[in-house]
Amino acid sequence: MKLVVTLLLFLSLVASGMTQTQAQPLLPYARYGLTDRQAAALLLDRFAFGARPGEVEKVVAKGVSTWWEEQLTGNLREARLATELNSLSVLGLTARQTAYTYPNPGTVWLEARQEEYIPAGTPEAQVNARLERYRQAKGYGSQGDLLAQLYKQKIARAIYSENQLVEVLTDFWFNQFNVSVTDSRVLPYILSYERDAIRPHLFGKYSELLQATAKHPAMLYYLDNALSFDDGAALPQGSLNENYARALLELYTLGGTNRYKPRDVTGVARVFTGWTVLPRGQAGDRLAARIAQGETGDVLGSHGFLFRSGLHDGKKKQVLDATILPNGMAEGENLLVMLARRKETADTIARKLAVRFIADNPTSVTVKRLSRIYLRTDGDLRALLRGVATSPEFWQQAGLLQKIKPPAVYIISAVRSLDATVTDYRSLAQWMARLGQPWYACVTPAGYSDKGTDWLNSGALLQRMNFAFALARDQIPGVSWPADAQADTALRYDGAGLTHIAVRMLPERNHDSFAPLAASYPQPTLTIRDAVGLILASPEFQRY
Amino acid sequence: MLTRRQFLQTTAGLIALLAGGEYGKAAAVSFGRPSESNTLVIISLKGGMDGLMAVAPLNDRYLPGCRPTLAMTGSLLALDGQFGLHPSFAPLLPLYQAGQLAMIHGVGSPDPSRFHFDAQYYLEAGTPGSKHSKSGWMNRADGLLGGSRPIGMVSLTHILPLIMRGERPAAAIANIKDFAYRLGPLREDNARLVQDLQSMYRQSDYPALGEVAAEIQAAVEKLAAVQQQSLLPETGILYPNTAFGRAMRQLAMLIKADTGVRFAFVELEGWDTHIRQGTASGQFARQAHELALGVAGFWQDIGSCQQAVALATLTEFGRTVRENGSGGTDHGRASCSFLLGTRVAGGRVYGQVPELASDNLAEGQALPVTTDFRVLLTEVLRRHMGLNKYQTIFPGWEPGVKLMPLWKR
Repeated sequence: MKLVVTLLLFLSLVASGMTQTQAQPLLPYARYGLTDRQAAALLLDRFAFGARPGEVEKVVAKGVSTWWEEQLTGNLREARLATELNSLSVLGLTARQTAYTYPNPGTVWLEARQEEYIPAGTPEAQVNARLERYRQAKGYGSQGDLLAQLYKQKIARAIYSENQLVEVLTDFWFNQFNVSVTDSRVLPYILSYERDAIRPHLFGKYSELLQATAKHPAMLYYLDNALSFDDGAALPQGSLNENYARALLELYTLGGTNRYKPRDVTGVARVFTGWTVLPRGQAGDRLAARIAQGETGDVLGSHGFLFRSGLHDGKKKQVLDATILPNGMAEGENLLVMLARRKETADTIARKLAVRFIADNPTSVTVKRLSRIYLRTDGDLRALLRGVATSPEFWQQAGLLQKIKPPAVYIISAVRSLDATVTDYRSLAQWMARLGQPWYACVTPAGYSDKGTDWLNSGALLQRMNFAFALARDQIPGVSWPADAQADTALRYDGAGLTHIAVRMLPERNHDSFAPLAASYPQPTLTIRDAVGLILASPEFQRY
Repeated sequence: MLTRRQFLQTTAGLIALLAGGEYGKAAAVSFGRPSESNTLVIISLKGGMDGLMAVAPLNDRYLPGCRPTLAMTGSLLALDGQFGLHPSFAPLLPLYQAGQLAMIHGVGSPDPSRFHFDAQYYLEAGTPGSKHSKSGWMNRADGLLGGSRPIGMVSLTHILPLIMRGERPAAAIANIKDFAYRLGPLREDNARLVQDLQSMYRQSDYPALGEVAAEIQAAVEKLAAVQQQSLLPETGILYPNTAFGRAMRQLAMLIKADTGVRFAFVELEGWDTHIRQGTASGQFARQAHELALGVAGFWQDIGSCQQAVALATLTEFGRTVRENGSGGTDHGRASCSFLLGTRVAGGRVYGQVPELASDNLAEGQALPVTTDFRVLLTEVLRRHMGLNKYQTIFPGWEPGVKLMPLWKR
């Protein structure tokens, strides 16, 4: 008997070991009639910022599913990107260091006034000059410089990273937990927010993202929770603020306003009272020291998070069907776990992923399947991504190209399709703004729309056409592409020749849309730059 | 042979001329239903304009106590006996005195949100309290007017705002010069490439792409007419040298060139004066001056087109009555709107501002909303654009109150 038990135990151990070392399932595209090349092209369109020349071939050679699994680990070596990021001094700074060095103008003014650098009654005309001298004396940097570095690292990553899925997901989850540089209190913390609160959790659990963003100064300022305090205590610091609570319920978890009541919002807001930011500079350092000594009931977290027990509403709260007993900071942490586990949250996240990666209007079957994966895996984001890539709808709609690229994807994919070299990122950032999607600057908490059709209007499409030709003609300062690699620039093309170029820039597409040009260019008169411009501006390049 | 509408327009102009009044003076006579070529301009004052500082009660005994450093009595410009105008709005004073400009106090949203994004959303969607609307009230109003106009709705911004989103096409034109094809180095190249592109889009199997491309073509053609005419402002008109000033100047060009603009949207940011609001000088004063200069310049610039144009300012919310510890004010509720038009019963301050005792204030902090912004807009849309179906423009809402008479009889 003992032998049987031991044998059974041994076998079960072997079985579980086998499950762990089993290879992940291959992507099922062949079942839907797609070739390796077609699958590679679609994956590069949706899970990367578009294919570089020859990249479809590379993915096929590696093995489509192997490439996919590599992207899901996000550990590929970054040579080119490392060079681009070398010169950026802010990348190594902590959240508090950045906040100290790049304060917003209002803070500088208040500080200068407090230190009596600007005495009361100073004429308005002299104030700005004094402020400038004060900045220099303190070694403060300009927020403009910080912003420039922020954009450079973001755009460089999108263009040059080998771990493309990491970049696409960083963009996606940042957008889900959107904060904006347009709020100057938030700006100094955004780099850390993306690096420390979003990126580390791309392949973890959704609840980790909730916790990390809830405790980050960028979010605490952006949705004003840093200034939300127990309104029953008549505190001089201020009163209850419900902005974060409402975003948490409506955007990050339950979704839809009929899934919770106004009193739930208030309850949630009360739970998060006292979740604030460690003050800047020496005042914060001193407070941190006292907390470390255990002199207060406060708690310090990473990146400048501070829980102030004295400002926290200590009463019992009711949120949805849960009664929340007084428990300090743990109330919020537990609430986030509770919300992350709810079916409505699973549905919300499932839908968001489906809209971004599958279709503007995904079927309910698709969304339900992803929602079930969420619930089964406790919100495992890697499992959800695998769910998207094994979703029948994902592959069924492959050839239809029904999604329109949002401006950022359009611009980056255009740059990548030409393997363009970028030495100055500012003009690309400006073009993104002109097309309506300046990164980091979406002012609404809901973030930029993932539905391509929301981006289609006359002004925006016209700007895309102008961008396409500006890029094609090397008229974007700091951006150039090797026209000679495509062909000798002295060569001319006819309509058929243009289609050849389109095949390289838009792999595995139906190139019928370029057929009208065959009639316009029976003779080879098109320059390579004209041809590239037409391709980048074409309806085909807007779709993916 | 003149149509009845053309006849009326000509007659109106003739009578005004014979009466010795210039176009645009209050003596202009109305001949019945509004012209189909009327234009409504909405200026969104972003950040939350302090209506209490813009149009201040002159004799409120609580005001000095509420605003020890921000209350202004001496430098205000007299309006009626009750209110004074912040001096930086001086360029608008002649319009007030000519009876074309009215201010309406107590305008705001029934939704108490003091969250910029939400409040602005409600203002543009026209559905305070509900976030389900994917379209803006202006787009719905334009839908009621119908017809096909390449630039019937124009936003002088980079991004098409919610207020103009919906079924009907709308153009975001931040800069008329930029709303042009820049595809080829020479004009012939450009023209050829435009044709190539348009032909691809026309034949695309993605209908929305084809439709939008067609809208571009129609809008560009309309705007080309604008570029060709010399529509520089008359000498002596000074627009502020800012994005807002440029937007107003270009809007004037679009109107003078008769491009068919029915709804226009312009933004002016910078009203969120939490810190260092200032009084006769400072942040608020600078904003007020920019607004006044831009609007007054625009009004003068459009000259004989004034009859067809009405302009209103809106802001997402007002500000607290009491100043804060940083020399500024925080988010409030009601603010005041400016309303400009030749047919407006101007030269008055409408609406209500209660005595500023805490008990009279919204949540003890802010000016109470006594006029839902939709009431104001319904009246303007009815009088100036001939639109009565407020149920379509502002779904899920009944005015409830008698619409205030803002138009001359």
